[in-house]
Amino acid sequence: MRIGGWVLTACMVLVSPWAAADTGDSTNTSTAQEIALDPGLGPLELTKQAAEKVTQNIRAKRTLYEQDSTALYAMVDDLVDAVFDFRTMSLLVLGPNWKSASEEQRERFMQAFKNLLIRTYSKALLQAGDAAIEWQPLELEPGEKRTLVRAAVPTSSGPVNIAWRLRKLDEGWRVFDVVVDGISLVTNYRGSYSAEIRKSGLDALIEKMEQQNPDTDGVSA
Amino acid sequence: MLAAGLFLAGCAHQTQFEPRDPLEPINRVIFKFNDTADRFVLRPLAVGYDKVTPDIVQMGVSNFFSNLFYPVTVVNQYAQGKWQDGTSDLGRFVVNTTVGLAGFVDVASHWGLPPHREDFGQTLGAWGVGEGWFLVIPFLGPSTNRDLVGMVADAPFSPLYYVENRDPLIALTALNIVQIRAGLLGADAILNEQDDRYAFLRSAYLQQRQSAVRDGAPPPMDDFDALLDEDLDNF
Repeated sequence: MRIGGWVLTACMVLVSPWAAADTGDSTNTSTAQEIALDPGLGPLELTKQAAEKVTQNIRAKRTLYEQDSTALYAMVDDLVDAVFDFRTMSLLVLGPNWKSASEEQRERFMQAFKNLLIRTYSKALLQAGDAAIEWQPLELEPGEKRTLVRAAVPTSSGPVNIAWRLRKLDEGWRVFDVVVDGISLVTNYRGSYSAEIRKSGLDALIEKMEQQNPDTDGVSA
Repeated sequence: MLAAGLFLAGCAHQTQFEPRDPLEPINRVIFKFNDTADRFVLRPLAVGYDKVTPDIVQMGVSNFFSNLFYPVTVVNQYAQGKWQDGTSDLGRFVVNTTVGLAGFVDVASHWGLPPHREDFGQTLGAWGVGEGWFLVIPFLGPSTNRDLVGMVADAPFSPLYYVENRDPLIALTALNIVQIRAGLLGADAILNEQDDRYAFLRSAYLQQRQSAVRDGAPPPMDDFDALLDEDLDNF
């Protein structure tokens, strides 16, 4: 399956003129808007379209992204801006500590957390970019402000369940948690960070996170 | 030990975010030991296996071991009162063992008998037994009181338990460990980015096990709801 993906990518880069052209001006990709989505989409459509756009994008530019992590981070950054709500994610990750945090601490945490997630998961996204997703029908009561979009990715050892938690904001539906095989991203970071904050405080945690990723653009593999 | 473990598991209750981990100092030492063993022995073996073994052979080996331990799943489906799943899984085991050539080919999935994974740790959870303390076991990795009891109770349902000749037993076990580790190579990159890998793994393990007890249903989000309701007031 992996080999098939490679062959397909190679063919697309060679055959498709627009893919080749895109690879050509790779130096400017960090400013280009790679993932643009209609803000008025419903929860299932938003998640689906984001997944489809990422898959297309990765298929077209896999070789570029494998060599140039700056371009990969820029694409994922666009995706994250279009789909995720980092304020809600940060609020849930910090839990009670969010309430006592100053506005400046909140801003710094949101930025550091976003950079950290982009750096951590971009490579995994690149590996998984070709996976077939089986979407499940959405159960959404009218007027509901929170929901769950569920899907399964078939693998040789049975399907892996994925769920996205979304919340309706003024600007539209936004994802605030991803649950893979029962493991919630938010809960996982919350567990690690609450111990860290209790031990040495929120400022120390933020500083540590900022040092880990001084700049998402400049980090190499 | 079984009784003591069950007792500990029975009186345990914890929130999602503050795992009960009274043995944390010892667990961290064992975690470090396991991590070192992984870095210098297991991981290199798994990388080598992944390199020299074609994808299709890897899949066959993975299928073979899944099928070998499948009686554990069948027994635990019945123990949880899931008669339909149990019978479907019994059929799956019979089909894959025979038509699927000792389990190497997963024929059953194409015949409408999808794979499941149940063990006695999950059965205890389904019966309402709490998970107890988080544990890290030398060489075996993360567990809980409940899962440790489950592992011991499941052993007689694995065909390997009845292999009396030592050499093939060791060879099979070693191959199984290496092929499982090879399947997890993709997760290394994410774990290595974590500042506190022990805490990250602990949370991931406990959440994954809770999800398995719920048969994959998404985790409840009562706590999230409370925080989000409160947040609405700020808009």
